[in-house]
Amino acid sequence: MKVDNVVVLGTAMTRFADHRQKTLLELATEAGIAVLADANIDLRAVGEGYVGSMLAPPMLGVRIMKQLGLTGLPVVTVEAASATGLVALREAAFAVGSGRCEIALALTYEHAMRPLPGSGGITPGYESLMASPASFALWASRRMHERGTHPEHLAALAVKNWNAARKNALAYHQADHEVTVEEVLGSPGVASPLTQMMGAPMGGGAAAVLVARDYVARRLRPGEPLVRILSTALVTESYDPNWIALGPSVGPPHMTAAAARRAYETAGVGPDDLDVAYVHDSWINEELEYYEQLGLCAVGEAEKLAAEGTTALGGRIPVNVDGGLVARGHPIGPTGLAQVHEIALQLCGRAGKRQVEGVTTALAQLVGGGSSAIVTLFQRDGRLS
Amino acid sequence: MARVAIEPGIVVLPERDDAAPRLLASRCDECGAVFHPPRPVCLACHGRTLSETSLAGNGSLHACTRVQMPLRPSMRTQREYWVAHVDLDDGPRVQGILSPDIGEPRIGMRLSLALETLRIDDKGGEIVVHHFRAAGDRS
Repeated sequence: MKVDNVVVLGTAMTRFADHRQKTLLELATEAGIAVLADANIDLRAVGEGYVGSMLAPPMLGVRIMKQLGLTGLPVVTVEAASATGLVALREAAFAVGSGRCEIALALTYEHAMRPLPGSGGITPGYESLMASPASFALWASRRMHERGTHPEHLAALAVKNWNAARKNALAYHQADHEVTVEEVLGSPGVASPLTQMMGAPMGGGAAAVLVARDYVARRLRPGEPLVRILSTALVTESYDPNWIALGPSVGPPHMTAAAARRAYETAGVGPDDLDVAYVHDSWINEELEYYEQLGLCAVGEAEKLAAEGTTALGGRIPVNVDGGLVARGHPIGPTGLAQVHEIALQLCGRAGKRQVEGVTTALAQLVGGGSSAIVTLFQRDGRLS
Repeated sequence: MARVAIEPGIVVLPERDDAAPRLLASRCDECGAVFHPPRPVCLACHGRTLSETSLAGNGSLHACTRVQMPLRPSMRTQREYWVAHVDLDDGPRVQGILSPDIGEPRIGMRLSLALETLRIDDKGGEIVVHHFRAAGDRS
């Protein structure tokens, strides 16, 4: 769906880490206070709140908003597993875009250090017979068969993201040395061909984004560039006779292509217009699939694209330069808003050591519970001073 | 000894111990699409009349992974196992586990369905799970 005249007004995130010393309420409050400070607005200006997590207890979102002094306004809880953050942003953007309010808050949080219930962490029973690494490993198995992908291709991509996170102080993994392909391949096996260092750590954390009508942002920050939300497209898995008809389980990779096609069409931009992208590398082989599904390269060319360094910092279309899920971390609920925080930094030239040169257009993509996919496009309006 | 499937509604247990199990499925009366496990509404044509059927479980291996973490708490004794997508001869692509005796599975290899005893429950029932093994393997 097209998003008209909605911009990112402020963003914030806690570090993604093993936050066992802090409560979920403390983490979420930290991100909430930080985003209000980043946007420098009066609390009473927030018209609606979209809060979310995969595992938090009922009504925690309302308690968090109360902590922030945000009372009286509508607060809606959003849950879409790994895609929760981008779905919360989507709802906040529509609240503003439809004219219901001028400013809306998306706030997501998670304490995923606690063990997930059930083997697949989703529902008990047959549909959870497969844990998520197995599902994504099956994609990898098929890709190795069809495209000749090697475990080294996967390890090299994980290395890119691990080393990217060394330039991101908020990332979960902070390696004290350049991570190597040998280390990744030598880490404990999880589901062949995937090893532990090819998968995202969960940990905990919180992230928040304020969105506003563009005229509100102009009034608050005259002359400053605006980060526009161009479009967002959310799809769930559709029937494919060549895929197992289970859910929530991991659907086919082409769910992402369906979401991307809609997002590109409504925004009037294409993959060639992108300057930076953030994708759901909960297991690193997903990143390869999404290069093709998002149109960053032709089908069958992802390994080549990665090997040529096109998606590394300094390449034509850097992907996951904040470390991605594999190294920035993936506490589930807040992951999407961490992507948006990073995109806002990049588009405003505030990303420090990992700044991508000449960025104006960015993409964020996530897959939720394996059965839904969301793609959201952003563009900076105006020049950086 | 009575055999009990680890979960109801998935597999049809054979009456004779040496016979193969079948997979429980539903077939859409309107368009003929087949689903395993059974579904209340046809995903292909949205028809709401589906008939119960069962599938032989013969097919070929589409993709597989050797998982080095427990599938579910009741299976923790098994350290590693293979998870697969299998293209059935008489039905859709399904997911399932492979026999521990599968060796090094190859994509495209022929598979058939069999039962594996997981444990004996406190009432003396034999808890079984279905798996795919190399076709022709009668062990």
